[in-house]
Amino acid sequence: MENKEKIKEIVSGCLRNDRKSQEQIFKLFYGKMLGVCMRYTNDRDTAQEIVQDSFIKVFEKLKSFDNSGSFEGWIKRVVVNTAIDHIRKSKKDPFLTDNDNDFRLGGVDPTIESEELELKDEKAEIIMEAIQKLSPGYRAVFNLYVIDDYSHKEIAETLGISEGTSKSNLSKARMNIQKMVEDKFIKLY
Amino acid sequence: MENNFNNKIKQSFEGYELPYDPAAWDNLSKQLDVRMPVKSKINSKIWIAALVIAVLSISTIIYFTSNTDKKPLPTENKEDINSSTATQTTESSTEITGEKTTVESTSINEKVTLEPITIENSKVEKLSPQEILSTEIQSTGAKTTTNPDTKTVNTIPVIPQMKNICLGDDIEISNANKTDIFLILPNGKSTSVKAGTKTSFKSGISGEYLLGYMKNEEFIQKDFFTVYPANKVDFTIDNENLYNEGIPAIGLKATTNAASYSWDFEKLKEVSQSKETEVHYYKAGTYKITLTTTSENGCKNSETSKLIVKEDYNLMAANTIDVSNSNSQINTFMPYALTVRNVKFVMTIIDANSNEIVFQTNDATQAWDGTDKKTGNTATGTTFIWKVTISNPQPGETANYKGVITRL
Repeated sequence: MENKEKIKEIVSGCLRNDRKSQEQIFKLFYGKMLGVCMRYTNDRDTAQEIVQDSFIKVFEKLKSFDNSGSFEGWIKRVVVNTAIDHIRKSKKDPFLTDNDNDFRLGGVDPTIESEELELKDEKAEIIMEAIQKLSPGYRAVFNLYVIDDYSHKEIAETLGISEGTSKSNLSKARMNIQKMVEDKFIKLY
Repeated sequence: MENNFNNKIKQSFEGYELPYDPAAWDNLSKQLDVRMPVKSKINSKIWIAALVIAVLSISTIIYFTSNTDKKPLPTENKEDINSSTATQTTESSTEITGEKTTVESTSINEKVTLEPITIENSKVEKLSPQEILSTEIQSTGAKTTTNPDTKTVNTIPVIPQMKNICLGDDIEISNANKTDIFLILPNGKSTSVKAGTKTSFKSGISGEYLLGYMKNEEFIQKDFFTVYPANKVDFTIDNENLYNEGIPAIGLKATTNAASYSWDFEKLKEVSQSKETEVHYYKAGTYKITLTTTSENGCKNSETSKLIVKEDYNLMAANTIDVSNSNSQINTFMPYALTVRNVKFVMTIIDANSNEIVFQTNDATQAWDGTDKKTGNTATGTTFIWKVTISNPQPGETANYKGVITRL
């Protein structure tokens, strides 16, 4: 994965505000981080804007990276936080939702047992499309918990909601994702 | 099964990547040029040349002066020393040697000690301007020291170490340098701290504050600190349930999350550190309840609400007795609180007309049934006074209660 020595060398260049090193870092992680942002928003322009803001923060805060963990993980954390900030600024209290009406799709049976739904060969694009159809509140909780390894406690603190709302939003988001992915796969196969 | 679902979703995004877009870097690069400007290469060369020229000129002047005349150099200022280098620049790539010399310039209080010196230009050119400025000159056999107090040219100011603080705290920045330092606020506005001064102001905006200095009309960031936003604090007062086991108890619950909680109740000594708690007021009145929470960043914030207690606590006692009623709660008298509290007491019933005691007990199960203890018959009066003295009252609670009973 990360070539630690190579990354260390490029980071050292970035710390000197060297543009070429910054460009190298950007090239290395742009695609992955755009993918992360696309999970948190539902349009590419906004995702690109978040990526830009994130990398400015990355370069400005680089000295706080202590080399102890994964550099990619550190960048991803900055990107996720920037995405959350962006969503928060774009709408008043976007995460304080625990309302079924906030779902963008209808006709979902909330009684579907998760055991009944075995995901088959999921494809990121299909799942991405499903995630993007969720409301910002559900989308953020789903991404943070399922993909980005946040605990409900961390989610509650990050989004300014209760742990109960986080769990509830996750549960409903997960049911919707399962339903949407299952529908897609049925159409595909 | 749930974990299986999570894992599959997560796995599907492992290595997920979108194509690189060169235009994105162009955009970012433009933003970086504004936020984190880079010195141009021409500037670098100018800096290097200026540095080499400065070192060479000083050493050359000293060399010639010391060889031709052993007297100390006359008083010179820095500009004089720099300007005299123009004629010596052609020697920049040659080896210059001389005796160790000390020059004292009284007007600028600068002491320069030079030893025989060899300058290798190729070595110097590899350094960036910032490295040159921040690194002591180390040339083969050469050592140049300058009194730091008198550095006014090519000097990076020492930026004070700032701790992260909370919104509303005072920001105090001391600038002991000979040059100004600058602070860029999260809203993009900037302020300067003049050389040798101290500034203090209240942090009114949360976010990152950038510290640095100006060079060639560009802001060079050296450090930053964070002003954490105020944590939200809110709580609810339970106005439905006013008693708990016979004691006035109003439930309070913090509705915002925090690392720690601290409740303060007006006129009471008791405090609480729980997210949910209850408060006991025995007298009617309006009381201020303050919840102070501390966030994980260590920031504190408070919220105060008024709690209204409508009536004095009087042991939840009834004010009538009807001996003809079949309901034991109506045909006898015992303040309800005494039957549910674990409390030591003495209750006395007095005839309001005769002022004689008609009943006395210290047992909550022995309610007064309307009889006069002297005669064993139903007391003749219609109005009675009850008095209760508690020997182990709660904190903030009075020991003595009294009321009127009307016989129906």
